[in-house]
Amino acid sequence: MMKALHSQKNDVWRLVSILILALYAVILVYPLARLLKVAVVTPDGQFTFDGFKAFFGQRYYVRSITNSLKVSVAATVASLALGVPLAYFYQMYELKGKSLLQVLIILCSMSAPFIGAYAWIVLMGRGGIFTKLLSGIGIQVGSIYGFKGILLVLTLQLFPLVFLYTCGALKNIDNSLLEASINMGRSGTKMFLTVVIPLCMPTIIAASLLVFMRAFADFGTPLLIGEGYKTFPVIIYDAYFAETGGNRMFGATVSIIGIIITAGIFLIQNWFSGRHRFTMNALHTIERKQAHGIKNVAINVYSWFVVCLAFMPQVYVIYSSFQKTSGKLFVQGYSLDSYRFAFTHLKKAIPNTFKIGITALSIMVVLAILIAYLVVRRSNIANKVIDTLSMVPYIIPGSVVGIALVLSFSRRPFLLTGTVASW
Amino acid sequence: MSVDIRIRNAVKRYGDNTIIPDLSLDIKEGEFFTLLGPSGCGKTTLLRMIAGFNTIEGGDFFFNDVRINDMDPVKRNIGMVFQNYAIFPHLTVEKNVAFGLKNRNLPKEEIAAKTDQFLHLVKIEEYRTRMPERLSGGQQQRVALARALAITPDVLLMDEPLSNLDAKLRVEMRTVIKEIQNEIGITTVYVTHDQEEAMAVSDRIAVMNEGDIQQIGIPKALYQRPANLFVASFIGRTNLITSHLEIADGTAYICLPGAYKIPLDTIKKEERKPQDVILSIRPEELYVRPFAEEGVAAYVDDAIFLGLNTHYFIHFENGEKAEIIQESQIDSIIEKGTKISLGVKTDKINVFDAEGKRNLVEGVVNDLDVYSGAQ
Repeated sequence: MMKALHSQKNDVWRLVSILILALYAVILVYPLARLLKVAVVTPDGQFTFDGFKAFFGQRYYVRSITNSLKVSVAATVASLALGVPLAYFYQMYELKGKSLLQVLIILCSMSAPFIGAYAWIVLMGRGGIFTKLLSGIGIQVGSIYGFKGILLVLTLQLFPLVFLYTCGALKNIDNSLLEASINMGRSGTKMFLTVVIPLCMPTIIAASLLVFMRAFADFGTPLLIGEGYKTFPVIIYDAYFAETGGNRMFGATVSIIGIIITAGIFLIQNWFSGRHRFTMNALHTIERKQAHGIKNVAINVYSWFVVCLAFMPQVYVIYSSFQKTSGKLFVQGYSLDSYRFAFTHLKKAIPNTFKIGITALSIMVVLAILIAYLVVRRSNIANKVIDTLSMVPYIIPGSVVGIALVLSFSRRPFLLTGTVASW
Repeated sequence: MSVDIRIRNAVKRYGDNTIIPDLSLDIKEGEFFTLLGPSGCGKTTLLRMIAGFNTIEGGDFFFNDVRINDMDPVKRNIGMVFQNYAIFPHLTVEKNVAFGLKNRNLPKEEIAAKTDQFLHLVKIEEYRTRMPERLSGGQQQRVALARALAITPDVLLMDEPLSNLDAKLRVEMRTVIKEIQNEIGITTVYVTHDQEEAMAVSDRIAVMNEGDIQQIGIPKALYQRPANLFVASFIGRTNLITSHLEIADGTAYICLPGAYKIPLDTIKKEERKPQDVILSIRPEELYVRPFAEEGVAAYVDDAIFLGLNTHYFIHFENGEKAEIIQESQIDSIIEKGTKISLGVKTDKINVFDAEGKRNLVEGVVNDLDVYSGAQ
């Protein structure tokens, strides 16, 4: 009886494994294989490296890779430089209004990708509000277009991830480790650099990868604020959706190069985190202390300055939403016209945003639970394959996944473009 | 260089909550001193005040003649061993031990030599390049001890260092700790709630309850002549029997259940007056007399054979229960329900006043008494 029950249960899970594998085969393996095929096989069936030759033959394209790497590395380093100290102050000391601070940080990380770029252009661009204000009192801010602008926007958008990750790691540090360090003569900045940072290293490495991948894959920001500074995702976009009709092979080739780069970064990160692996469990978590004097002022000023800076785009967007408009121009005065317009003219867009989001979330939760169960509790070859496959989208830029899907399913019977399933 | 520690009228408060109301204490140079008490009695709080991790709301702390109240924890030159060892998980054994030395601008050779010396002392040289997570609990404890001692501290503080180990390792490690402390001769303050552990390692013990020290003394003094009822029942096991003190012809008698009276010549002269008392009779201070001899009548409820000793659970004729420990005999164990006659080792038992605040028996040594005049 028991045995019969057990084998029946097994069968159900075997079926789930098969279904998930089939799903991955259709929506992941097939599109990626197709992407590869388009990249290296000509329409008449000839194997070719022409796409790669074309890419690496043009300095314009090669520079987009170095540009992307530069801006992603810089954004990662800057996010760490902002986020890690902020997390340290937040967990170690009693900051003024710390609950509000945390809410604001989380809100910063949730804004739509290009809102930051748009708002910063309006604030600090050529005709920007701050630019005019500051030049009025004789201060000339440099251009925020190009590399600097992308770096600014990406950093302010991505440091909250570092903050949240690092806070988690700090909560996991036992207070007695810090006490032991202080007791043996190492405190303050030296303790932060040689004890706290190494203890958070596994998390910092994980957060770095996440930030890097986001920065590398982001194309809205460089598109808006990058101007002449072309990054890789912009090239992918141009290559595939160029008005000239686009070149399928070239678009696919660029995508494959993108995958190779991100996979390489992932492997480096994996190797690196393997060298910093250890377990910790906190018996007594760190208690927040009240800092005094200049130190207290400094950490409060730093924390609030960073958060307010990052929150500026949201403030601006909220502010401008109440401004009076005439056609596409802002005019003097305030009104709720924009909201009226949004609710009357975007009737479909707003519910659609929620519908897509909620549906995707539901599918994700169910799939994630099933996959987690299969991987942990029913370890076999099929489920190990599922485990690996589920990690693949993590290292592939979103636009590449989009292109692969469009390449595979833009013909009947699987018509995706222009449907809800489109990216 | 070891120091003596002097604490006068220490006060610890968290907000309106007073943890330690007024505590004074002297720890001698080179002494192994233990703070013993139930959880929440303030022993760890006091240790952390000495270490500088807790603020001091009142009183004075001295290392020799130096007042340390406002001294930076870093400058107190204290070696500390934590309950969960607090070994740095990202550093090898060797680097953990060298951690404190590296903060002292010592030449490289000296750091290496000191590290070797203490790795050798705690016998973990063969694990020097290992990461902590690949060590057993006992080995981690040895690393923590070596790391604390390597900086040649003036004082060694240990906060329940053995509570995370299993019973057998605990006994082994306490011997290691005691031996190493003897060898180095460093002033040591040790915190534990385990009275057996405290007796095994300590030169002197302070028994604490609710932020106050109840008694300070050598293990023998605490066990045999506890200053009050709390100490009597916290250290070792004891039977508490409510009783009455009677005086006849200048001799003090205690009344035992069944109207059995025994003369007690250990009662202090000034306490020899009729009064209600509480007797503290440890299980080994009662003995079974061959039947029909004169004694306290009792009935055996249960017997547990534990090899060296046999424990008997008994009740008196008035229903009060007690426990007896007898060396195991070669003949049979006394059966349940058997009526027995008990004798009392009168020189060993203790008699407390009705509140349990004072021991009425002569020979109580409580090093705490020197402070009562000063208060």
